[in-house]
Amino acid sequence: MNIRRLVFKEIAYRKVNFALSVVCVAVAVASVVGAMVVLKGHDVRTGEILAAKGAETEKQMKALDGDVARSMLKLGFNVVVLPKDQNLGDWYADDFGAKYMPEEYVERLANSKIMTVRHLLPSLQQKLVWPETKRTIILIGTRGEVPNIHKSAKKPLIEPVAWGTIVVGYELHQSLELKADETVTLLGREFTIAKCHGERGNKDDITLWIHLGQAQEMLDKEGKISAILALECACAWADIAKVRQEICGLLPETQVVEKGSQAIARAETRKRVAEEATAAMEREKQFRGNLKRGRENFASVLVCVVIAACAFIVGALAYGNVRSRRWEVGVLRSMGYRSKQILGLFLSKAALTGVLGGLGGIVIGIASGVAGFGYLEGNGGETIGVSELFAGSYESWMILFVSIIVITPVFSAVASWIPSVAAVRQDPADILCTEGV
Amino acid sequence: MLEVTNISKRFVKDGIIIHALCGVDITVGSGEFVVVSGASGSGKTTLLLGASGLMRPDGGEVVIDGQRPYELADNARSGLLASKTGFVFQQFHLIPYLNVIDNVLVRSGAAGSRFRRGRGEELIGKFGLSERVKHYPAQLSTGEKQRVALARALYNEPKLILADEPTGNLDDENSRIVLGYLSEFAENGGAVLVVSHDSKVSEFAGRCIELECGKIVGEKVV
Ligand SMILES: Nc1ncnc2c1ncn2[C@@H]1O[C@H](COP(=O)(O)OP(=O)(O)OP(=O)(O)O)[C@@H](O)[C@H]1O
Ligand SMILES: [Mg+2]
Repeated sequence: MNIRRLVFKEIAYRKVNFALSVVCVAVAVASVVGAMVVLKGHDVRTGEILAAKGAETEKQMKALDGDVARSMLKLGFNVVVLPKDQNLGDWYADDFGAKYMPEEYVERLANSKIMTVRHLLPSLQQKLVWPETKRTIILIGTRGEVPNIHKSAKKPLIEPVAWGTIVVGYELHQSLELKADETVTLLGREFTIAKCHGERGNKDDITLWIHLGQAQEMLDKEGKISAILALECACAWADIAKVRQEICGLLPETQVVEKGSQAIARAETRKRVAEEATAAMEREKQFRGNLKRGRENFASVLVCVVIAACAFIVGALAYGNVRSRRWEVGVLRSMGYRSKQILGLFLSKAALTGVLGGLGGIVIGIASGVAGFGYLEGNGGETIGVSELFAGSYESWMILFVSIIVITPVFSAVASWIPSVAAVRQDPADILCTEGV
Repeated sequence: MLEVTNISKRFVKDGIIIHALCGVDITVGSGEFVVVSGASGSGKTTLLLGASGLMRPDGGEVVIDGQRPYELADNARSGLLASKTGFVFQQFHLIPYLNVIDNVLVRSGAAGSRFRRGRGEELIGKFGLSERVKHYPAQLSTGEKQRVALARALYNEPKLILADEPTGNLDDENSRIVLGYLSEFAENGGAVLVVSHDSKVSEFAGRCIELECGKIVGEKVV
């Protein structure tokens, strides 16, 4: 008859006491495992939610990107490159520049890879009094298209003004009664009128356009221009600030002014959507984070309370069991059992309680954690799958389970230790005189 | 087999000192059946436990088969109890969760003992309980319980049987059966020390010792 057999016989005899202890240990373990399952489930679900949101945002952004890119290509955006010392206030007020920069800048910009520019229009502008008619006019010398080596030029946007010809604004040809193919004199030179513009309602109506080279000669500004108009620009970023920065890097002593376009508005929409999506993501993250903290706090309190209660019950049951079996200690001693054997009788029962409770607790913990998580998330009972739970963290779960299987027997043996040692230490005679079956 | 020399024991409870034994000498040789009688509270149980090696006396000496149990370490003392002595109690002290055969075989778990199922069955048969091997103590009569206890005491073939009121809870017939087995054990060369105030016991004993207030006040050989 060995101690193991005695332990099993005693357990079979006092089933309820043993079952109660096992259940207590199992409940304590289940509360820990269940809490871990819920928290792990939370992490998994948070990952899923954020990934889904991220994917949705990305899809949305892609759609918008396409939209912007299309509109960028279709509509493009316009920028004006001006000399750095050009006062922007004056420029906005007069709509033309009075400062100059080298004409060679046009080629530099054309050959750069900053953006795809369909049309680069250098111009030299000056406000002056037309001596022959005593009218204040704006004289603009234009060169038409500058070929872009990165993109084959399409149909020129603005028809260039040929050498010796002049294009006349509405107000001027109306009041001076000028007509196409007539000849006019400007600053002592003869020009054939190539075209009379229709009414535009802006300073174009008092503008004269001539060939850039001729304007440079006449105004004594050889090799100089006052502005480069880049029309229908397109670039991958749709980000004017960046375009501006790049151009200024390429062409020192310039500033870039953007002339509002539809594409810009769309780019801005995209940017706003991106910002909104990021903010929404951040809000969701924060919400899930707060939820997790709440759940963690609740779990830690719950687990502590449950463990304390279970430890108390297990301890009380162990104490009661050992106390009611004190005479058994005396009888076994009188038969020649060693104190260590008798201690082993009580402690191995406690350890068995721990092992069974630990195993049961792991199973109950996983089951209740999975069920509880479904309830907590409240999405129609949809919960976390066991495989999902273990995926990627199989090892840490195993470590947890093994530690539980090691810790719970030790824990319940410790709970039984004090009453057991007290009973074994007691003089068997004391017990034998008074108790028995 | 058993030599008890000048043992004394006192209990202190709530400041009151009880002198349970005051210098008692007893020897029980092999083949002897000795009974110690006396009024309740005279110190009979105290004497038996002191003599058995289970309760250390305050003074005096105990020798069981040449060994002094109180001078031995825990393991060795357990070994001595397991191999040399057998106990029988008034309250039987059977283990409630073991059936009859297991209550006898439980003795085989003691220090230095061997598991011998045949020996257990033989003893149970001897005490007329062969039909009851699977029964639990709660299902037995008091007489049957005491016979199981006796079988358990004899399992390791001890040299000394110590019995505390073995007939205290038994009727006349069962008392005689149990006492008959004890005297048979003595006749076969065992030493028996019984403490009892049951007058029937003296009929089976070879020597009667009278205890009063922890002192031997008379001794007669039957
Ligand atoms: N553990 C103890 N603590 C205090 N006093 C004790 C203890 N054990 C015995 N006594 C006292 O010692 C005295 C002797 O007790 P003991 O049990 O030996 O008497 P007894 O002769 O066996 O009596 P009974 O015939 O009633 O069994 C009694 O007064 C008893 O109260
Ligand atoms: Mg007594």
